[in-house]
Order: sequence, then structure tokens, then C-alpha cells
Amino acid sequence: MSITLYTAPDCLRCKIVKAFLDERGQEYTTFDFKEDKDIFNKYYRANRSSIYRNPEGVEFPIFDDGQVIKQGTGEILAYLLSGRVLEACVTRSELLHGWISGLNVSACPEGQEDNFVTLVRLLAKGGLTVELHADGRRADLLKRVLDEGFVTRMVLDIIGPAALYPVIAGGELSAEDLKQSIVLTRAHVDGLIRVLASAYANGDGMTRVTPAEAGEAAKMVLDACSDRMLPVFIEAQQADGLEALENQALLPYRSKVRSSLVKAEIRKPEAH
Amino acid sequence: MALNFPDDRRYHAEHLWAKEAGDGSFVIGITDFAQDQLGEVIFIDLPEVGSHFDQGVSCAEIESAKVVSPAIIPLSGMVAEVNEALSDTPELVNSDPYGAGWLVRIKPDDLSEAIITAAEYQKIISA
Repeated sequence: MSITLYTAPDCLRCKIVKAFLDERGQEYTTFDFKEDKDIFNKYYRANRSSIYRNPEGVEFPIFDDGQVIKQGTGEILAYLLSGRVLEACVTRSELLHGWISGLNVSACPEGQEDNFVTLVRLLAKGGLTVELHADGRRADLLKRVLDEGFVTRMVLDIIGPAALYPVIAGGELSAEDLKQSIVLTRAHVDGLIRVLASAYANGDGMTRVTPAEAGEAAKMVLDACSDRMLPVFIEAQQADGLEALENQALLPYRSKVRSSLVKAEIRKPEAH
Repeated sequence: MALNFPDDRRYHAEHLWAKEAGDGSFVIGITDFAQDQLGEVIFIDLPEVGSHFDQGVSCAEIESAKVVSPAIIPLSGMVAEVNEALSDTPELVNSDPYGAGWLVRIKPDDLSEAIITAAEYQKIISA
């Protein structure tokens, strides 16, 4: 399979992917979207439906091995490290300007721990500032990644009450893992705990965690940390097919969460 | 290079022009100023022939590597023809915005709709 990379000039994310391919001795061809515009423009038009744009335009590099098109440095490296196995825990980064997100340590499949750690290391050493997400599962791996010292911001997302974890996250949440995850997040210099009004697919399509369920999730967090003063933020997850929740609509969530965690505040999603 | 705004057509403040084609229909395109702002155009999502747009709404999306920009139609009307050449050579919008880089040809609904002169348009973009 021949690998083609479409790059932008002075693109840090492109350099990380190139360095990884070089280190592995993998051959590849690169085209710069400005210098080789005729080739890139033709490629873009032919594959536009598979190519993602972030708010600043087309996200570079674009990776194509003839079978898949991948964008986003995290997603490309995850693919190179382990094929599609890491797709559940490495998704598109929503952060720009030197940051990388889209890394969910809790969704890492069994047996992929080393690859996940390697991935975070490659991204951080390549010069990107890493935001790591967890949902309370896999505290062991969370500790391992944090111990490496490469994570700048740690976000622990409480995605719903434990009973909903198998539906929303595809895995069980253990009380002990949650407890450890909270401890690790609080100990992190830029650690943030969010109770999410998660959007998820159930049998009938997309739905959302209700204020009552968010309240149950907060009670679960209180049971795990025994600290009513734990600072948490409430945030709505947006999804296609669901009405966006504005601050006003999050007030019922806040009141339910505050009955366990009194310092809960509504937080607007951040853009970098 | 100085930007060019020919007097033989009318303009809209949202950077498109309209020129009578001789048969009552109007050819629509983006201005030299707009193409200059967009940079190298890599794709144009053109509308279906037969679709209708009201003045001031987007009738097409113009993509460069850095931005996706709506093309705000200067006159209400029905699309009679689209510039098929743009599907393979969208860069015509950059190289010849008033000629080969036209976007669509429309049959206008109402010729009394407000639309400005080249001089008025230049005042807006230099303000």
C-alpha cells in the first residue's frame, strides 16, 4: 500500500506524522497544498466528501493509503499504530492552535494500552499540547498516561449514571475506577470534572441524559469522593438530530446536580 | 495588482455581480475583491438548475483550503444554467471572475430589486 500525505507549509501536525513514518522507515509521497496545488486540488475535488474541514479550513495533513483517508494527527497516528482498533478512543481533535484533543483514555480497548501511551507521547513530544479525556473507566491506564507527564489538561467526563454507561460508553463503570479517576483528575494541575448532558443513541435514535439522570450521576460522584464541595461543571453535548441546549435549558441540570455537588456550575464549551 | 470592477454590470454589497445576458437572463459571479479575499478556490458547490433563490441568500458555496464562503445571490430568480466548467476548474473564479469564472445564469423575478453600480460597490469595499 502506498501512502500519500497532503500537507500544508510549516504545519506542525504534518511534521509529527512525517517524523513517525520516517522513524518507521515507511515510504510515502507528500504533496503540499500550495506548492503542488494542481495535484492537491484535483485530489480534494475527487475526495471532498471524505475530507474534513475545521473552522480554519481543511485540516492537514490528509493521509491516504489507498484504502482509507484519515485526517487529524491523532487519528492518523492511531491508524498507523494499530489499524482501526484505536478508533473508539482516538477521535477528531476539536482544539486548534497547537492543542490536540479527541483522546479518550477510558475507551482504550484491552491490549492497546501500550499503543495509546505511545500515541500520547508522540503527540506531546511532537510539540502539541495534549488535552486528555476520561469517563471514569480505566483508572489504571489514566494513571499510567498521567505519570508520563505529557498531559497538559485532564478532563473527566461523567457521562451519566452508572446504569447508562454500557449504553452510552459501551462499558461498565466500577465505583473504584471512578473514585481513582476523580483523585487523579483533582491532583492534575489543570484537571476538570464535567457532568455531561450527554447525547447518545438508544434504540429509537438520538436522545439525551435527563436532568434527573444527571442528578443521579452527581450522587454517584459524591459517593465516590465524599466531597460535596467538589467543583464540577455542567456541559451539554451537542449532536445532530438533537436540539442544542443553551444555558437556560441547563438550569434544571444544575439544580439536580447541586443537590449532591453544591459547587456545580454551567460551563460553555471552549474554543481554542 | 489593482482590483478590477467593470462598469458593464451591477453589483451587490455581498460581493457578487449580475450582468444582463441579452435574453432577459442574468449571469452571476463573484467580484475581483471577493476572489482576492478567498484565495485559491479549490471547490465550488453549485445549485441545481431550476432551483430558486431570493435576493440576499446563498446560492452556492465556494471553498478555498482556508475558508468556505457563501455566494450571496444579487437578484431573486430561478437558476437557468450553472457553469459546469467550475467542477473541474474552479480556479477560473480566481483567474477570470468576470468572464469564464461566472457561477450561474438566472431568470430574475423582479428587475426593480436594488442592485448597485461599480462605483457604489467600490465605495463599500474601501470603507
